[in-house]
Amino acid sequence: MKISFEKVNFSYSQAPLFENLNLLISPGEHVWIRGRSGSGKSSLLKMMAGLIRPHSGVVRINDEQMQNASEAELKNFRKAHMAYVHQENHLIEHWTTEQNLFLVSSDSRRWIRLFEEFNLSMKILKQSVSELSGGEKQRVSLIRMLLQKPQLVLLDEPTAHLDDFNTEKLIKIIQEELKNVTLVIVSHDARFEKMGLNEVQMNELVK
Amino acid sequence: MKNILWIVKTEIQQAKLYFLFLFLISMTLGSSLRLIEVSESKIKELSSQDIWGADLAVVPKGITLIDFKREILAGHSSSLLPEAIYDTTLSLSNGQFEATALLTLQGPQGGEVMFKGNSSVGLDWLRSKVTPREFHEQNVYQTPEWGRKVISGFFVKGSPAAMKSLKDLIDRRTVAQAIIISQQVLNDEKNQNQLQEALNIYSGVMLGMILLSMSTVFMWLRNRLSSSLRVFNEIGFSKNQTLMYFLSLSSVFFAFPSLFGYLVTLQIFIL
Repeated sequence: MKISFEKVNFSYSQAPLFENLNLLISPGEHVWIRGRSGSGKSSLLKMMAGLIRPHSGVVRINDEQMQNASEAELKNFRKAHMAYVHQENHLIEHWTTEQNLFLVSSDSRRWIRLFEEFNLSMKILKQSVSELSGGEKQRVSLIRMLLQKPQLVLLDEPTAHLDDFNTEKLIKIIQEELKNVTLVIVSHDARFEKMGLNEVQMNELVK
Repeated sequence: MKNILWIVKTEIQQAKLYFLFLFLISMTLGSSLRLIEVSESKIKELSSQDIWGADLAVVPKGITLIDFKREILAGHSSSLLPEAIYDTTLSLSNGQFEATALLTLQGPQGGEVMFKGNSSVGLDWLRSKVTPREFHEQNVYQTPEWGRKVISGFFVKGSPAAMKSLKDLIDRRTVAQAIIISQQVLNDEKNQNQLQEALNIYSGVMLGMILLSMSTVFMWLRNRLSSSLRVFNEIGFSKNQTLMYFLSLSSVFFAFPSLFGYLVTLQIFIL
């Protein structure tokens, strides 16, 4: 899935966040956008997901202009092609882990394999998400993302709650599971340097 | 992605505590409403007749003015007086007061009252409520001491001084008691106002507590639903699916449990 930003402008207040931002991500490319906190990494990701719209300029996914799409079309697009894992791990807190995963896939054999790969105990399947630790929630969010079998994956600070061991695991799994998928990770975590991703510096984009 | 039915089922499974709370709240609401309703009607019944058309009521001991009124309207007397009390009282009047004796009866058309004496004393207010009849021999009431020569009570009209001395005489010397109507009406109104005031305070406190509990429960529910809706939005729920989800949950989470709780409460009260 190809993503392109052409002369994109955006601001939350008077001060512009993006001015004439240009970016091209090729289909199947794995990109790591790194930058300091508050540099607009998460906003860039939200714009790719169609959750916010640019004030001017063009955002294209597979040559379709995102800003011309209706909310319903964007939702359908997200449902069909995209998985977006938020920094805050958007899971349904009052549901059990199992119910959260069952929402997107009933392929329990795949869950079990992913649970083992992510070093998660099967006991948490019956636990409410609100009872899980930050690291467990993050890994469950990533499993849900993988179960969606998306063509475009957007990950916002996916290692924020993970230790080195689990971060390495995550990197390995992502590389295996998302081989032919377009992947965009925004993170300031230097541990991604090992992954061999195409690195984009946020401060170079917003110059 | 799972269908709405599965999602609603999951939400129900995860909301047992909510259902318990809502059920208890609706039970409290139902019972409070019922209690207020019943209390208000009972308080209304405590009201004395505003215009009795008499100054003194002579009734069996232990019977209040309100009881007397209730018995006249119901057409049944639980206690009786000998007719002789009325006859003796009248013979002592010396033109200082007028009196009417009453005996309540149950006729084919409902409450009836047989009267003896001056028909204008204490009868005007009940003409529209029960059927007045001239006194005659009856077979309904009979006591070992007085046979069938009994009455339910009698009303007297006269000067305040005459009423006071008559009351003293009846209270001290007979099996009856005399009630000065104007004083009793004032007392009854005072009691009624106090009860009404207490009921109003109770209604206010209950309403406040119920509103507070409802708001807390709904805030809690809203937080949970917004968590679900955020995820559904991200995984691409359509507008129709979201609407269906919202409508289903509104029915399942609010309408049914509230109605059920209220109906159960009513059932308990009726039983």
